[in-house]
Amino acid sequence: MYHALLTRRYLFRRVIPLLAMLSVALCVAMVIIVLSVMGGFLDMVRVSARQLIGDVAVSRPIIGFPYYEEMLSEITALPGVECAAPMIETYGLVKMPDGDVVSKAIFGIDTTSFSAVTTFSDALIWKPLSDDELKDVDDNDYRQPNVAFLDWDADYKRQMLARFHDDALNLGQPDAKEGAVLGVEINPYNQRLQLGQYSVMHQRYWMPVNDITITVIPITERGAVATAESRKLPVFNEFFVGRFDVDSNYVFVPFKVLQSMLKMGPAQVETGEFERDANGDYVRDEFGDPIPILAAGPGRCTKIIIKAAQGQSDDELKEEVEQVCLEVMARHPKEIRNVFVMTWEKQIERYLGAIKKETALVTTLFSIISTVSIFMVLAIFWTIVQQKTRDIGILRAVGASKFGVAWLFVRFGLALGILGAILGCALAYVIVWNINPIHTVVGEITGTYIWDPEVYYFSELPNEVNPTHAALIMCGGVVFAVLGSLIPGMRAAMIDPVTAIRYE
Amino acid sequence: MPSGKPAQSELLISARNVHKTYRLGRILVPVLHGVDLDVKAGEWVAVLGASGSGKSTLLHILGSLDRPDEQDGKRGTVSFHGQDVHQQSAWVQNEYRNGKVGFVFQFYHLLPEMTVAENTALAAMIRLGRFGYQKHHHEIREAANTLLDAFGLGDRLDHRPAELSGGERQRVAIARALMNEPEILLADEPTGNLDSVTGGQILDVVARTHSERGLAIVMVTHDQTVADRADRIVSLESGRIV
Repeated sequence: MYHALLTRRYLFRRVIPLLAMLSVALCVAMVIIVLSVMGGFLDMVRVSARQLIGDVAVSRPIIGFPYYEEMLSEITALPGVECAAPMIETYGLVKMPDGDVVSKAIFGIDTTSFSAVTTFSDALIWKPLSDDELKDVDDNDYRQPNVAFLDWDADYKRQMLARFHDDALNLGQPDAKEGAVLGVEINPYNQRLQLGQYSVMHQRYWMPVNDITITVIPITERGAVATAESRKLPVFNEFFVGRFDVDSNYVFVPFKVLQSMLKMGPAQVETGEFERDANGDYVRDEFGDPIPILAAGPGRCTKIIIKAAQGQSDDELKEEVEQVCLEVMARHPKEIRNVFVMTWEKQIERYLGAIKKETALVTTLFSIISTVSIFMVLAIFWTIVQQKTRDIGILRAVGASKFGVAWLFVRFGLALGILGAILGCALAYVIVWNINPIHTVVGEITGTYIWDPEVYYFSELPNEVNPTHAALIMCGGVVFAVLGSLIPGMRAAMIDPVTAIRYE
Repeated sequence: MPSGKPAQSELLISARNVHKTYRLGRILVPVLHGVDLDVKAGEWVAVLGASGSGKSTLLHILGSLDRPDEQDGKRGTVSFHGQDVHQQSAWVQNEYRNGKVGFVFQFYHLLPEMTVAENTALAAMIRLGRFGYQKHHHEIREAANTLLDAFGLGDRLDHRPAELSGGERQRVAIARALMNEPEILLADEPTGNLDSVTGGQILDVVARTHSERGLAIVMVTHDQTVADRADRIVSLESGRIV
């Protein structure tokens, strides 16, 4: 009983134990915060990657593959497939409204099928908002009816926003207007508002009222480079998915437009014959290969992205899709030479692997650093034992055993560890839940933003705590505190009671 | 609680050939040189000696806080009811200090974090353990309060030692020593830190306890007037009873 009584009194009547408790709390908070941010980062990469690339993809980068429509219809017919969409990926130059030219990833999509597989349509920014949605947007957001924009009145602005949205949703549809949708971080004049929405520093550079010119270089099926193609396109809309590499790098244009610009349209298929000069010799490309004669044939795409049906495993679906691809390839052995079928995880394996390793490394490092709490507790308890030497003598004189004296201090360490761990966990929850505002405020004060979205890909820091991880880390904090109190506890037990009684 | 003074015939505690030497760095300092002492049940013995004569060391050895050294291959003994205390297990020695012996020190030695009532109940807390104490909490608290009341500290139960005078602290220390109804009180200069009036009051408390409870007392002191209150006086000079 005296253990409980003295533990309580020692804990709250002196400053030193509170310092030990604080060290445990800070270590627990530190590891929870690091693991929440890094683990959350990993989860965000997983979720966002999957949302943008589907569950399984058939791809042949740059050159692409023909008969994709045939392959698409057979894949879509698979029972494990919810939907699928063809797309073309390439790199190109984008001339911005202010005259700057930047290199970006250009994607040819058909919004309807692409949105069915991905969350693209939800990511479009410029659209009229319902009254409910308007409550949650920044007062400077152009979508607010009362925010002045150019010389548009509220009704006209609403109509225009509706048009921008519809045009973006119809991107790639037959008879729809040709245009482009850009990641919101591409326009350097865009600025992020406090609540996470976007505005533009100069209204004349607001993308939906501007055009861009994209330039791409077609590459033949044999890898030869053709003449660059440029096309001026109005910007319909901008999107925000929260992954910085996507928001700052992706430009979506209609599938048919990019297919045509890259000479991947239906007219471009090899006949098996090669061009010859007047002497009957082969005309050769820059690599010395004969140039094939092209004839009307099926168009090409570089990728088909597939969304699995509910409950379908990615690996099983991949096998089924591979089977379909083999069958289609068998029917067109000359035209389809090779395609890759990969799950979403495989597609970003190296990237994901690097983040996993980084998460494990950082968490391990911080866990090692947090062992400093053992030594903090040890040092503080050593001092406490020194200060309480006479108390130890008194307890022994009144009949307390050596074990009882040791347990008094170990119990004290346990209590201190539990309270420190609870305090640290609470602190970590408060910080992680508010990590983005804290990051902004610290950045504004110091001028340094630790979480650079250009490095970490996401515009916001992850702000969720995994309760299981938090509980395990709390247990670790308690164990560290007990370990720190063990040696001082044993020392207390070994103190000679006569020496202790006489201790001044 | 026992009352009435028992016949002083039964030998309660007996020290034989007790030697003790302390080491101060490289120097060996002999303190006790073969002390023999018998204390009967209910007897009050004063051990009179100058400072450094080994009085406190003898008291610590009697109370099993310390143990005698070997001399010529033989270790001195302290027997309690005929049983050699220092041959017992650590557990039994703890119980001996907790239940058979009550210590009173010159500097009171109360735990500063505990209240007067809690300090008094400390020995009972140790004896009963957590669950036993919780079960008998009210009885223990009542016994402690009764003791403190008897010593004129009924209105000081929830005070901390720092809020008490020297005399009050020593009375709390005596109450703590009596909590488990020991058979012998080992008092180390209980009035040494008090003025003569307060010291006299403390001796009155000790005398009353001795007479009412029939408690054996070994009190070490350097003060002849204090020693005169005892039934018997033994003198300790240079580590020997003379």
